Order: sequence, then structure tokens, then C-alpha cells
Amino acid sequence: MSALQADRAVLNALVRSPLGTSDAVELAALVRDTVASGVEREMLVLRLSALPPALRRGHHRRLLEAAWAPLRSSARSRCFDLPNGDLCAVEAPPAHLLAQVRELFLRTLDAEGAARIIRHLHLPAEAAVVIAAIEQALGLASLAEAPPPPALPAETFTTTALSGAERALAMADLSPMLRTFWACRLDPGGGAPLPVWEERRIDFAGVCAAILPLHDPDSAPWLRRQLRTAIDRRILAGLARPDAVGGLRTSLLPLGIAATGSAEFARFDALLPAMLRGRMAIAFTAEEVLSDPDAFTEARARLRTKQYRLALDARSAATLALIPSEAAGFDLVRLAWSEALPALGTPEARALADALPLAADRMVLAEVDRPAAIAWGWEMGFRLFSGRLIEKRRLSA
Amino acid sequence: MPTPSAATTVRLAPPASLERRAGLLPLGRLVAGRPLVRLVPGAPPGMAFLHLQPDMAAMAAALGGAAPGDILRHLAEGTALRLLDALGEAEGAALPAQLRAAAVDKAPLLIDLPPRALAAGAVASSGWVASLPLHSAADPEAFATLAIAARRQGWGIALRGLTATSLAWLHPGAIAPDWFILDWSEALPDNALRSLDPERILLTGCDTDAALDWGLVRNIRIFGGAALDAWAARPGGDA
Repeated sequence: MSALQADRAVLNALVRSPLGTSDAVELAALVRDTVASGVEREMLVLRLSALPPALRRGHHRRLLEAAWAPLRSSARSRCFDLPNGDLCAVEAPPAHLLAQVRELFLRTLDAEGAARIIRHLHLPAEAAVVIAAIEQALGLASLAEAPPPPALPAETFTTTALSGAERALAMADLSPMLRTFWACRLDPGGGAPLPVWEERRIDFAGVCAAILPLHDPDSAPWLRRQLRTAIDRRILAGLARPDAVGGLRTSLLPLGIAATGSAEFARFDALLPAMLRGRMAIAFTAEEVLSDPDAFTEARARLRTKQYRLALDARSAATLALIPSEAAGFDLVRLAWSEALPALGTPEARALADALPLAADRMVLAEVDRPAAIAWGWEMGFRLFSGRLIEKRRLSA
Repeated sequence: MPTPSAATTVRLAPPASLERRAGLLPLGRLVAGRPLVRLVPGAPPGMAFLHLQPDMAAMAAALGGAAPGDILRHLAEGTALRLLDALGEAEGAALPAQLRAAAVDKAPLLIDLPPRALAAGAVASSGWVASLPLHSAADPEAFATLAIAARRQGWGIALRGLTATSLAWLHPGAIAPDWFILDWSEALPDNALRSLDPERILLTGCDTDAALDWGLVRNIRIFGGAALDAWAARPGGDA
């Protein structure tokens, strides 16, 4: 896929995004049209959001607005107010007005300040830069950024540390670390995201930071797995109460294999109405399945007999080639979106499309945090999406 | 193997962690070395690899308690890392007696290792193959990256944990180690073998002649299991 097509996919997703204010959406549409038609436009971006708060208010603000005003009043240029306060103006070449206003800013500001807040861009050549600016203005770029990594725990995880963590777990309140969000149906050109099922996922890193603050759980993978089982059992114990079970809807529960054979799971199962059982999907990661294929095969048989659905939690396209989901007995595939997934149009993307279930209601693109993921997902046949961006769109719809 | 005197003092410090207790056990008790034998029709059998594995049953017995499987597997990883350190010592000085000869003779070794041993940059001697657990291939792209780095350090790469159970739904053709270690059973599905080159298969768990015949018919050439242990243990040694 060419860079242009990639941009277009992002643009399409942006234009349809209910997140966008009308100006941001119109600007995205304008960028898309210049990309599609090849018509050239010049653009001036005033990044007011990059200014210190003091300079964004009062006297300073009035000066900046006064300098920008000619672009608002002229018929030759079009202005866009982005939600984060940034201003954009677009004019057809030779764009004399744009050049005058830019000169005015450059004369008024020191060189460093000007470089920080003024950008002069050419469309369609720099469409990608503009789209990135729109994403940033919509708060999507910051959503996409990974949270800052916590300071790395120094010590190697040991069985002694595991015992300590299990004691701390017994007293810890996990409810603040249990994330609940919805997988939603989202069709190209369709309306607001339609919630389809609820996913309850523990913030494992957050729990570890609380109950295992000095050790790196990744330094001993089998102990991490044992700790994960203990955490899963705590979550199940919390769910195995009439009031908690009563609040369950169609859900996806990520669990370790061992937890599905625990006494806590048996209690949860006994309380769950039969009709709800068929609407519960238990999700196993590929790593978990391969850590103990015998235990997986046994758990799969047990869960299916009880009418639970099974989901495969995959983080890489190649995982689905190694574990063909239907042959392995999975009803659903939950693929986590990342930049590492194959670009549209590549042989890898075609191989992934072949490995995905045939039905769109049996696969979900998860961890969607930017419109490009939705655009990619639609092309790959996904109609179900989950993640921070979907959650935001669902709540604002 | 003489017990180091330091062990006595350490043992007095309560409470000794499981890792420490396991670390004090002699390696010779915790590591099994079994032959993998090349069988080619019309030629005498030859030693292909000495397969070194942490012995989980021996670990459980030595610790004298019913530890959960994940804890035993954690301790087995510790044993494998200890073994790797010992193999790195000159003349096999730190190795148990039964493995020292193999180290001095520079026999090809197949060593069960955790992926983190390779991620840490361990260097192989000539003819060493790292046998990695099935879950290390959960992301085949990450597995391929790890394998490339390990080969640069001299390692061959084998994937273990392929059984009738996992091969019933796994597509091993999606990964490309140098060797696939298959655990023989009568239920081993033929269609799973179709995507594999028989010359890259190490068929373990061959306890009967029927197992050997099963493999030979499918052009597999390297075998391990009780049927081969007897061959290696025969008077005259390992050919």
C-alpha cells in the first residue's frame, strides 16, 4: 500500500469520527480531497496549544487573534478552529494573504517562538503532517502514546517474593484495577458505535506495581503465571456473588487456564444463569495456550460442555497462522491492534485475512487507540472494535 | 560430588528459599542426559545429540514436597541456567561426572533452555542446539527474531513441546526452527507432519520398536527414548 493510500485510510476514519468537532472533520475532508484530486493548497497552522498558558490568555491572546484576523475575514482563505485551540488557514497558491500573515508573526515573535507555534505546510505533499496535527488536536495522538514506563523494578522475581505478593493480594482491593469496556460494532459510514459485549480486564502491570513493587515479574515467567492465576482467582471470587453475577451481560473474561479449573470458577459457574453462560467468552492468550497444551485441551472440553465460548487473545498476525483459531476450537479471535500488524495490500495482510474467522461477528480488533486502526480493521474485514478510542466514541455518542 | 562447605552455613539461614535449596542440589541429580541417535537404514547407528534436560521429577523428589507445576518449571529454568554456566567452564570442571566426558569430547548437545537464556546473549560452542519451549513461539515473529540473534551466538534452535495433543490444532509450519522435537505417541497425527521436513524432526519418546518403525517409514532419522537409551548404554559406549 502506498503512503498516499495509508493517509487516505486515516483520513476516511477521521472524517467519519464522531470525536471530531465540525471544523476538524471539515479540515480532514479538505485534506482528503486535496490528496484525492492532487489540487495544491497552502496551509498555515498556528499552534496556540504549544504556548505557555499565560501567553494563551488576555493581552497576548488578543494580539495573536488580531494578527490572524485577516485570514478569517478574507474570501480567499478558509479558517478552521481545532478543539485544542490550534488555528489552521488554507489558501490556494500563490497564497499571498497566508504569506503576509506568516511574515507578521515571524516579525513579532522571536525565532524560537515562531518555530514552535507557526507551521507552513503544502498540500497534498504534506498531508500526513496535517493529519498528525489534526489527530493531536483531537487528543488522539496523546491517546496513542504509551503511558510512561514505570521505573523498572530491579530485583529478580523469586518464590519468596511470590509468597509475599500472594499475601499482599489477599488484602488488596482489585476493583480500581479492573477495567470494564465494550467491544462495539462499527460499520464504515455507519453511525455511533453499537456496544456488543463487555470486556473485563485486569490491569496486570498495575496490580503487580501494587503487590510486587520491588520485583520484575517478567524475570521469572512461570512465577508470573502463578501470580496471574492467583489474581484471576481473586477476580472470580469477586464475581461469584449474586449481586455481581446479576450485573453481568454478554462478556469477555480474559483468564489463565488454571483459573478456569479453580474452586472460585466453580462457584462463579454455579451462580451464573444457564442462559448467560452461552454469552460468556473466556479468553486465553496464545502464550497461555502453548504453555500447557494438555491443560488447554482439557479446559476447552470442560468449558465447551458448559456452553461457554472461547476466545483467542492474539497480539501478532503470525500467531493466527501458528494457532488456526477454528481448528483449535476458538469461537472468537481478539486481535490487539498495533503498528506491527501488516500493512494493507501486502502478502502478510492477505495471509492474515485468510487466517481470520470468516464471520465478522467472530473477530474483534482490540486496543484501538487511533482512527488509523479502524480504517485498517475495516479493510481487513473487522466490524467489532474495542479500546480507548472506541470507549471514547461510545461515551460521546 | 563433594558438598561445598558453604552449603552448610547457608542452610542454617532460615527460611531458605526454594531457589536456594534447589541451587544447592548437585547438578548431576537434576539434569538428565539422554542420547538422540541417528538411524539410517543400511548404516550403523550414530550419536546425533546428547539431550540435556532438567529433570522435573527429580527436582520434585529432592525438594520433598508437592510444589505446583509452575513453581517446578520455574526451578527447572534455574537448573537449565546453572547447567549453561557449568558448560561454559573449561574442561567441564563444574559439570557432573556423567556429563563431563561429553563436554570434553565436544559432543553435539541439545539443551532444554528458557528463552531468556538466549535473550541474555549466551554463547554456544560448536554443535550446540538450544531447545526452546513451545510457548516461546506464541508470537512467531518474536521467535524468529530471537532465533536470528541466537544463531549469531552460535546456537542451533529447536522447538520442543510438540505432542499429539498440540499438533492436533497447531500449524508448526508457521515457525522455522532448525529442529522440531516431536514426542512420539500412537495418536501423533499424520497431517501435522505434512508441513514439516522429516530431516528436521527429532522424534523423542520412542520406547518401542513400533515407534522407531513409525518414524523410519516417514523418513525421520533422529530418535530418542527408552529404545535408544539401551543402545547408548550398551558395552562399548556411544559409537
